[in-house]
Amino acid sequence: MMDRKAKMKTAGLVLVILLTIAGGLKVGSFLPVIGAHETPANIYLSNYYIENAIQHTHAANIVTAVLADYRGFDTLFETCVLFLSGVGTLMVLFSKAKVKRRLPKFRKTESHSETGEMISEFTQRGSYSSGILDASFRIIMPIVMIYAIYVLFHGELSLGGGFQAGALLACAYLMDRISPSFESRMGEIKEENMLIVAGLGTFLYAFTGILPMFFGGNFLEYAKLPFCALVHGGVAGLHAAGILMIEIGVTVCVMAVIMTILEVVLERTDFDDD
Amino acid sequence: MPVILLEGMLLIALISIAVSIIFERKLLACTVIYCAFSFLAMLLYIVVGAADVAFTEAVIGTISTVYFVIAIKSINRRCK
Amino acid sequence: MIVRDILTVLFLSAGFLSFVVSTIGVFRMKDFYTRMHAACVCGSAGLILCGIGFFIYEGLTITGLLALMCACLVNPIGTHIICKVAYKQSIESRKNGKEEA
Repeated sequence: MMDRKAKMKTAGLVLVILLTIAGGLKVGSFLPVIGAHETPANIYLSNYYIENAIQHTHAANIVTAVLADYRGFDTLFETCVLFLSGVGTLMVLFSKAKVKRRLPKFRKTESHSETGEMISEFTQRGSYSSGILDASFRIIMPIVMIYAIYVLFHGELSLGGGFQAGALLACAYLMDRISPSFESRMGEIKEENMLIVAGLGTFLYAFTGILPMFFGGNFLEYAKLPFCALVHGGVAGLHAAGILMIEIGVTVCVMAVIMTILEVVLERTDFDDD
Repeated sequence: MPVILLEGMLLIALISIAVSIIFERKLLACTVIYCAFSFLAMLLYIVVGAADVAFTEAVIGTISTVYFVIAIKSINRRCK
Repeated sequence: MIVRDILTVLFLSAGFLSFVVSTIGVFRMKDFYTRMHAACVCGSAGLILCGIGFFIYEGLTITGLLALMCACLVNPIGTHIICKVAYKQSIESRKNGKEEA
């Protein structure tokens, strides 16, 4: 296994870490216990959110209401950080040479039809290199995409929200991208275009923040959005509309960033199989 | 009482998996163990009652495992 | 009801036993393909038994049925993909040559 020097180094490192944690617990014992009831966050803020979130925003999921309405400013910069990570990946790996893709060969099975070989080539060959993948991806991919849209729109009522929906949409694309296929794919994307889509998603979020400022409100104040005729429920309906708009922006941004990083790395990687 | 037992078992399993990641030599095996770590963390989030976080962890865990495998494959397998 | 509780415990312990058998098989088998077989077959069987135990206790729910169907669909597909890629990369059976990984 490990030689003696490596073992001693690892043991020393573990000892140092344990001593640091023990020292920190001893020194930091004047700090309040995590989750205690007497902190100001639990006395004032939590009770305010729990009592008022549902009637202010018509959102049964208080987590989404806090994330997208009361703390919408933080979520805006989380989305910006995600977008910047996509930009950074593309910038770092831009000058690496792309690898020429070789499509795998299709070996015809030994079955003959009466009308000739043309029929057998088109009816026996699917897009993927395995019949099981063909049959199953036709069922699984649409279900995953529809489930992602469902999660996006029901984020206010049950579990979900923008981040989960975007990651699920990117999963559906990922399934197709990493499977070996015979022909070049129909939905090939370029990473530059996908980055523009990510920027558009972030811009949609910021636009929902700037739009109330034209109608006499503050930044990200959903009560002054100009959709009074379209929503029912008064001010709470406007809050719900604002939450929906920013969740759509977050979904588009997350999906595009995951796809961008995937394309950037996969185009420049030489796999030694197939 | 039974809930604390469940949380305790999950936390002990998490710590042992993290320690086994440190002492593992092959990188691809480390990636698979990290995927199991992510799954156990998701179970822990469900037990303490944070269901949104558990959903996000489940989806991001699979995507990050794929990223790690692609990254390990792209350094030409020098570190096995 | 006492019959429902006994049946639930029976099915859940049968599912748990199946998972234990699958784990022992993964550790003890010496060949790659037999390991995958142990993981997939006993794993899926354990899922179905635990699912039936859940339905006996809670009644038939739509979300439970959908989750069970998804699990039964996805588990064998994933195993098939892994084994097919391994076969393409010439990971041989043990009796043919040296075993890799």
